[in-house]
Amino acid sequence: MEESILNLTVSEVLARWPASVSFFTGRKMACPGCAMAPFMSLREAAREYGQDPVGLAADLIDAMERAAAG
Amino acid sequence: MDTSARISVLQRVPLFAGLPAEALGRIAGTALEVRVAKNDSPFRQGDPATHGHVVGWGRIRLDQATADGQNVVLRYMGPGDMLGTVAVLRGIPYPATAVAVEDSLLLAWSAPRLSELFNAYPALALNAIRLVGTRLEELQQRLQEVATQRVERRIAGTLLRLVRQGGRRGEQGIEIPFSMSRQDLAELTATTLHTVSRTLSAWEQQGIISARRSSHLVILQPHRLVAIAEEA
Repeated sequence: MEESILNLTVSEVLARWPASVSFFTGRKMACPGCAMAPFMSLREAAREYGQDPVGLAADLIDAMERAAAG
Repeated sequence: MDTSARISVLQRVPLFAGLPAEALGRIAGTALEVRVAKNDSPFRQGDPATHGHVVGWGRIRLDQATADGQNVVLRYMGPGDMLGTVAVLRGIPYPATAVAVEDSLLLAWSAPRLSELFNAYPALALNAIRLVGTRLEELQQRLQEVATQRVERRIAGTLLRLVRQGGRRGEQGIEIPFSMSRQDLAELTATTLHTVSRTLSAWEQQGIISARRSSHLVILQPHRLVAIAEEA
């Protein structure tokens, strides 16, 4: 699951899970609204911010599941 | 600080360069000592300029507030640097606020005392002209840097707009597929062709972009370009 999410672009992630905006801002990642978001994979974004991609994806899935559960 | 310690500080002050030892002794003897604790201000922007100062020891930062309330750090000063003196000689308020970065000691001369010294030692006036010239040169240099950095930001911002309007992912990076000359880019950014060429060449050398074909820009390091466009 983590691997397939990491290959999505940041824009795709944001479109699929609108609640991920606060996930990114919480990690001080300026991805929402960035001109490059449609072109950068989540993996690339994680690396740019010096974060472990797999760990970031796992946290994202957790956060979105919790958001969906309300 | 005893007189000989003061003299050794004053020997480092360009304003006092070339003065005879007797003169330095007299100048040192008439100085007031102002101790400034870390984060305290010996004077603030807009205060009447009552004293000229030389840093004896410690470190002082010179801040200037702009009309819209922003703070600009003008410069840092250490032992031998002069502050507030030009305001005293011109009879204007201090143009900036001095803040002690660490516990510091200033040597200070009142406005009448400074006038006396300038009358007694004409070499001071020549030194002052040289000093003001040096400061002016520094400011011109800095102005040039500020102007350059701002235009860099603008060019980066233009590229980001183009990416939003039609960027696409290529093998190497993000491509701007518009056929566009550097002159076009200069006009979009309200700058000169020369500046655009110089900036793109620098970014190419840093590996931020690839511009081997002038009409076809590829952004190799998108994150860095965004950082340039958004830097404060």
